[in-house]
Amino acid sequence: MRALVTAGWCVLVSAALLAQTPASAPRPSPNAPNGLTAAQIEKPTPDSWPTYNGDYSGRRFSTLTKITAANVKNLSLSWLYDLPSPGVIKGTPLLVDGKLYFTTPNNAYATDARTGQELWHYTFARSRGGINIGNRGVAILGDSVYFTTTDCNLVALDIKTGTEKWAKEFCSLEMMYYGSVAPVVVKDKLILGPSGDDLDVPAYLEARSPANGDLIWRWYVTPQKAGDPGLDTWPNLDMAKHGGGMTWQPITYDPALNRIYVTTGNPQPVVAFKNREGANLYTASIVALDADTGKMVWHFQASPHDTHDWDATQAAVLFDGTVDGQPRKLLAQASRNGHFFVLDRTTGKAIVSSDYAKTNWSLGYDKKGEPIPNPQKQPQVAGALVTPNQGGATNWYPPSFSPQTGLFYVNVTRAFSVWYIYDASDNPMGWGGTDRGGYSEQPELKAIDYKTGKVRWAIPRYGGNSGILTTAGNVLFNAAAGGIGAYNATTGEALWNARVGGTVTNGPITYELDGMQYVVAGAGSRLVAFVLN
Amino acid sequence: MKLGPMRIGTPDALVIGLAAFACAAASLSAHQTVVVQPGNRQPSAQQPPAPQPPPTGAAAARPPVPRSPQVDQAAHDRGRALWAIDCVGCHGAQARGSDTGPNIIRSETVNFDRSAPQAGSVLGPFLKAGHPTQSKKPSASFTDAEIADLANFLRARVNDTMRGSAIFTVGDIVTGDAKAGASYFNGAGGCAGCHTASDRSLAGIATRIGTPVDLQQRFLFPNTGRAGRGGRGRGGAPPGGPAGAPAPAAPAVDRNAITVAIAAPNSAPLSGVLVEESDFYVTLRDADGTVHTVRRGPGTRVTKTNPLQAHIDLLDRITDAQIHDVVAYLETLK
Repeated sequence: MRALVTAGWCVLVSAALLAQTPASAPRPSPNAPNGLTAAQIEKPTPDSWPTYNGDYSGRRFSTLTKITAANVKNLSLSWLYDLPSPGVIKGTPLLVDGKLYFTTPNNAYATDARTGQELWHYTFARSRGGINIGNRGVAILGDSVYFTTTDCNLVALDIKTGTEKWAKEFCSLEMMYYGSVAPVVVKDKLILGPSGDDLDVPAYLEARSPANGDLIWRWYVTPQKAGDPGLDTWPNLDMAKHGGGMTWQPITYDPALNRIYVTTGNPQPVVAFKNREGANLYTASIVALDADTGKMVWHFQASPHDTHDWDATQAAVLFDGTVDGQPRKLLAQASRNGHFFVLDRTTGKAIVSSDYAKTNWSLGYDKKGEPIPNPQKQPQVAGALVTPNQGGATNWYPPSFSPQTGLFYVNVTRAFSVWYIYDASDNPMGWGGTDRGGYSEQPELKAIDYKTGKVRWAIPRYGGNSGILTTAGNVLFNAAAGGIGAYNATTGEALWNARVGGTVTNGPITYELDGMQYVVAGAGSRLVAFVLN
Repeated sequence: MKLGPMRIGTPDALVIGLAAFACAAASLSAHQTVVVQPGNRQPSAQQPPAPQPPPTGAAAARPPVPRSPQVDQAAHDRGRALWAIDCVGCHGAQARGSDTGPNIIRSETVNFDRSAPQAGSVLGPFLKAGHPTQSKKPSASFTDAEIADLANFLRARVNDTMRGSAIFTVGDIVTGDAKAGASYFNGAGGCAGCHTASDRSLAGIATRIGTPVDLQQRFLFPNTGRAGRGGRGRGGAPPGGPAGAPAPAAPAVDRNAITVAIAAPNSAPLSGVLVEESDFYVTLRDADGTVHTVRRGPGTRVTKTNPLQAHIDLLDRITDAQIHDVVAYLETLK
């Protein structure tokens, strides 16, 4: 009986939508026959989402205005796509020529952006292993779709058919690396890095050829030879060479400065720290690299000598603002360790350092604006009570910045856990400890004023952790209880919720096709699209 | 009121939200695309997966790599004996190096061997090529069986460094001063206000909770691991939090459950156990077991009470030394 009722609703609403939605014919592809160009990625049109963050800035702000704070309550379901097998969509779909491309570990999918109909599904069936925790999505250039596999392959697919063109190993599964990042196209290069934090191995960021996956340049996160900068922040070269700092997340990029902004992960060994005294550069840092050569221009360390698995791999969000009356090129990060930083992205100098979640592990900031860790709150054999917990005040979920409101939005969890050293020897390897248990306060969505670093407002978040999207319609999309919600970007007022079978698990996107603005989000194994009636 | 599809969004969004839920439910069993959009009005049957190219080149021949490969314990023990004779002086008891030899836990030879189906298949050629040994025995003279034994010993040393390894366990955490702990318990900690001899008694707590670390975790985070909430390990999600989970089955009396009182204009006040919160609704179960869902409106006042608030309040003020003292004290309550 219940099934009958729900099926009836489907038909009813389908009919309602059919009545209200303009008919449309597929448009000729503007990119045919050679496909997406680097220039189109640099200046994306509103009918595309051609790179992980929508554009290179990492703001996840759309200029679309059809959906507004006033009318968002009228959003309704356009289509659903359920994965053909179990999986969780954690990556951001890319939209090119009316088609969406997205991934789950070792799988890539293409669907029609207007209907959700599956166009192709590719499985990298010969994966040799690795960790299936998540995949952030694809990169697209020309007629190729690129993604990384759990067993360290960079795979190129034909965009029309999903047929494999080539696969090239970019990290070593044997050395316990794996692939999860979404590559990002920068001019004629694919920028990507490996994942993994089991074995004490070095992290790096690479530029590879879109034609065949060949290596163009590689930047190592930690010093690899005598004379390398940062070596004085490690006890010796051997520890530095194996110091980790994985480049888990897609980069951001400033075309005018020709700089890539890469964020780096925790040092190794992760928790037991006795054999890596020092700041451990350039782990847990924000680093500017020359996009052509991969040479480091500047660095800022978000967590000097991290001992809590607090990757600083949260998005380095680029925007231009005004500080003390002067126009500035800025970079902001809400870091996993609970601190918020605004840097001058030309120089790397800190303008604002503040805590966006109350923490108990740091003793203020040094003159560079970097937090000073409290040694008492390093992990201990008998346990140290620390906030945030290992999950962090935030995690990989993409934040958003709206140039309209001047606010930086981030999903925040203030949780406590107890950190234990398990390997108390002088030469620990791997993890050597971890945190246990915990208590989490009500998770929140916070809006931070970039000029002061102060939290302008915070609202309870009843959905899971997810990415955030803001639009020029003064709307913010985020996870909500059992699904997705819309909020007033200026005030945080809740405007709309829809349950979609699960809370949002990726960064929502928006685009306009045939005069209609869509909002698309992943919720577990489902991709769901909403449109305004 | 029934749970589920009735609690959706704003009234304006209600119909559409219902449809979203209903369509979602309808599509749960089928791997298909559900379309409510012109131009593609029929749900599409699932497309067959694109044909996969046959594996090519070297990658095809390379076998899977387990995260923690099996160790043959007997071979490992024989390998340890060999290690003591020929390797330990330079590479150390754990293969993590010494003043005279490198740490080989993160070396390619060890880890490619560890990743190979046959223990010793990478280490063997390395040793056959010649490598100094402690006993001056030529490394090329190791038999295949001896190499496999050494390889098993090294697999275990790498496995030791992994999360989840057998040695990945808590050390001696009872380091505090029981007397100071008792004094904190009865004084500044405010614990004795709730935990008396006749109510919430902690008599025998160290026996009831088997290990000191569990006792420490329970005292700091008493709600962790409880059925229906907070049982998500680290972070302990609050009710209605990340999971958006359905309500647990009606429990017996749970004196630690979070309760909620709702006062709204022109409505009788409601109170009960909090089931779920969203931006627009609060759901509770009252004393009769009836579930109520209330829309948050202007003037609606929602007051939550967590009976464990005293424990939560400790988190921002207790020091690690005080924690360890309290655990030392609680450990005396056998």
